[in-house]
Amino acid sequence: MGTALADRGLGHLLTADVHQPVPGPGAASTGVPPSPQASGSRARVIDGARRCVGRFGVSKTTVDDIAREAGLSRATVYRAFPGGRDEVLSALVRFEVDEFFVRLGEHLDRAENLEDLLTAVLSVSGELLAANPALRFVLEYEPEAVLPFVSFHAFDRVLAVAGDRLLPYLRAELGETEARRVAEWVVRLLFSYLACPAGVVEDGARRAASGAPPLVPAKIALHPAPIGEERARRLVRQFVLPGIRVRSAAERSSCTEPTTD
Amino acid sequence: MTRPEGDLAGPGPCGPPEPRAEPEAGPDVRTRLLEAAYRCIAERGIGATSLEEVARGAGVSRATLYRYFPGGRDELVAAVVTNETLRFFQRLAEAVEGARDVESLLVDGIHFAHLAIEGHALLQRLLGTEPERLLPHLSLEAAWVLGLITAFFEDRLSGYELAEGVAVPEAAEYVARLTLSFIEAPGGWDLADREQVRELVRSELLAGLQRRPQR
Repeated sequence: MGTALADRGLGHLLTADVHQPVPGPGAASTGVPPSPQASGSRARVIDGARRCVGRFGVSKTTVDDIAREAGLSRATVYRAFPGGRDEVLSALVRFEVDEFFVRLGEHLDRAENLEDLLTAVLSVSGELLAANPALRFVLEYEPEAVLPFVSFHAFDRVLAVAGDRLLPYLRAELGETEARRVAEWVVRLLFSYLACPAGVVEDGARRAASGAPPLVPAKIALHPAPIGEERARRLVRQFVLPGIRVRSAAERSSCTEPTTD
Repeated sequence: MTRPEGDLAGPGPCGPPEPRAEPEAGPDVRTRLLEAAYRCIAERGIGATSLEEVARGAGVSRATLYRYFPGGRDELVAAVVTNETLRFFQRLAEAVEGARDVESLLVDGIHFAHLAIEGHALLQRLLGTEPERLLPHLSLEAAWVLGLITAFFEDRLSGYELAEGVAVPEAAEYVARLTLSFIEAPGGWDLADREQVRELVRSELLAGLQRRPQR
């Protein structure tokens, strides 16, 4: 446990590739168009891998586990993913990220205004992430597998990807620059609440105010909890919207960036 | 014993120290153990830090080390991280002490913190070499750190004219969360540039807090 993922060749996860939509099944690894059997196999392997990770986590999931779960032979798994375990896991992450944005997008498509949209980004994202069994397992039992990809400099990458993905929903109303800024801003709040759910901070503040040293639990496990729609809306309405520069009708029709007053 | 924060080559080697006259008990021992552990981590990294060397570096026996840190290396590393975190925020508090208003406080604070984090040699090295060992400890700290910063802002915001319907605790928590996020990762902003920090503070941190002018 705790072996750097980079050692296992997973260092490229959540780098430039991730936010590209997953290309046609099978094409990614070999560039050769897949046979109908191969595309079915790829999906089954990814699905099997997800279930394995949800049950045993990343470090303990082997190709044999994945093959068994997918109801396929090892040979079939390797035909679909010549890079083996690492390639499967890499594809799983890309698949999950795409799935996440598809589902989030369904909510964002229904948003009628900026407030609804940003509220949905905060509240729905949290729900989706908290409901993902593979992610839940990893965060609780192997947080070291995920943290290097979402912390410090790696978080810059997360913000950039989020900006790319949310841009289509925000660009018309805000212009490109402001859209990216707002997307990053909201994603910061999202991750803050994922890392430190609301109630936890109150306890921390009380301890800090009393001068008591921090209570550091023995077991390192993360349990992200969703923000909740009401709190999310409150944050957006009170703290975020006042700081957003919306494009005027004139700016929108001429496709210029919003002017700063 | 003072040591510049983030200093890689702290005073004293990782190995055995000069012979000491002090007994193997008392509050000083804990401090010596933490400092020896810091030196070992700076020299060898977290994974290669041995309790044997830490004990020797502090001038105590392994048994004594275990008395202070029964949880072994995990507990020791956690304590070092907590210690360094505390020192960082003490320095940050000092850096913003003279700020004349909340806006300056935030600008000074974020600017200082960004440079301090970027310039913390040991932190940056460990993030590169052993993130999977370091980051879980930092995220355990996160709730407490957030509580600390929230309490700090609750203090500073009490004289501030908040917008209608905004309570100090929620404003303080909001500012604390974002500040901590920006300290950790600058994203699209250049936080070494005070003008950008000021722009950020005005639009993202304070816009919702400020009492809006009557129309």
